[in-house]
Amino acid sequence: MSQPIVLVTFSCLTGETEKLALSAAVGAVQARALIRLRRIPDVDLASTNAEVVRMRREYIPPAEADVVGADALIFAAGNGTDALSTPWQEFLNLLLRLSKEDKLGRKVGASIGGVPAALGGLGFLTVTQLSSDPLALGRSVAEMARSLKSS
Amino acid sequence: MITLLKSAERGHSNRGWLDSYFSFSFADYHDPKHMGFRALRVINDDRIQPGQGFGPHAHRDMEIITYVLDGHLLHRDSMGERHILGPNEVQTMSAGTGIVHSEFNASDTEEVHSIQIWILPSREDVTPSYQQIAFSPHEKKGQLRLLAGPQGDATIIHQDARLYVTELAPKQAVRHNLAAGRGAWVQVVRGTASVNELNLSEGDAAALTEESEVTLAGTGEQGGEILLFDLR
Repeated sequence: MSQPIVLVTFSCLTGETEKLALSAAVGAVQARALIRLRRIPDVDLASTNAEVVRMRREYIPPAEADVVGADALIFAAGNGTDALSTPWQEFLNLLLRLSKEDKLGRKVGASIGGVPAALGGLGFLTVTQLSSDPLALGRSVAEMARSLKSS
Repeated sequence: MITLLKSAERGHSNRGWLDSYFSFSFADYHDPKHMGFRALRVINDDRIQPGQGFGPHAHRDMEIITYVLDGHLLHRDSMGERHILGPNEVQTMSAGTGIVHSEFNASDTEEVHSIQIWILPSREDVTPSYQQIAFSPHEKKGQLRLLAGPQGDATIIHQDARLYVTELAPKQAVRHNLAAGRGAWVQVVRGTASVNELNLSEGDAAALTEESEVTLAGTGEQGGEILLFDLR
């Protein structure tokens, strides 16, 4: 059976939420999933903060193909994140459209930190925060996606 | 028996920021005749443009060895490791239960030329680890310097395999005994050399089976730098 694909999408300006996202990704890999890591683009494109510049270089933003191709999605944002920042809103709009097209219904969803509550209404099989430990969360999400894929 | 793999027979991919030659099937290059040699699964000869690199991606159950010929690579991973790797150093990452890492050219002006090697581990689910050691350039001149193995003064891998490097001047030679049943893979990473009197150019490789000895010699005007794998 093919491996489930877990898309981990996060927003981060300091490197802290990135650590949570990486930890969730490692958990998914431990559960033998393939992972894709994507970062929500910055609002402030002029920022020269070293961490922001590094993350901008290392990550690409989530695309429709990433969402459609994934069996599970994990969203991570800091608790202070402006849930309705323009880049997040654009991503939410994409998810909303895919939801209306019934393209999210057989995907697992989970979140870490201050991700918009709006994600709850998009039709994922579960958006419950399964664990406060991102590593365990990543594992659980991957395992759930695997059983869903094989059912 | 010695089987040659000429440089031009390798897989090739040029994405602009990354120019790679694949000794074995990798990514979009797939050749059922070149899937690896014993536990050796990947040898990628990569040239990465300044400031460019591989964004965060995952590995599981693989021993990943990186050897830089020119330039410097910046490594970051989910274990919190952050290191710069340069010539006369070797980095080994045991992916084990799972790891996410990125690798970028640490320079904004100079290309990095590196060899990435994947070796299948003898067992799955080991605890992920990162090792990096430096050695004096003299340690590889005219002799074999162990870069990775199951034990010894090298990075430690979870496989009964040993990776050596040597830099040989013209007509300078080193000899390595192969125990019964073991095989060797020889990869010329710089210059020219011979293996058991067969001439190899840069990028060429040779697989040796049922041989009791490997004799490497520098050839041409400059000699060469060679990686030697001793595999069960």
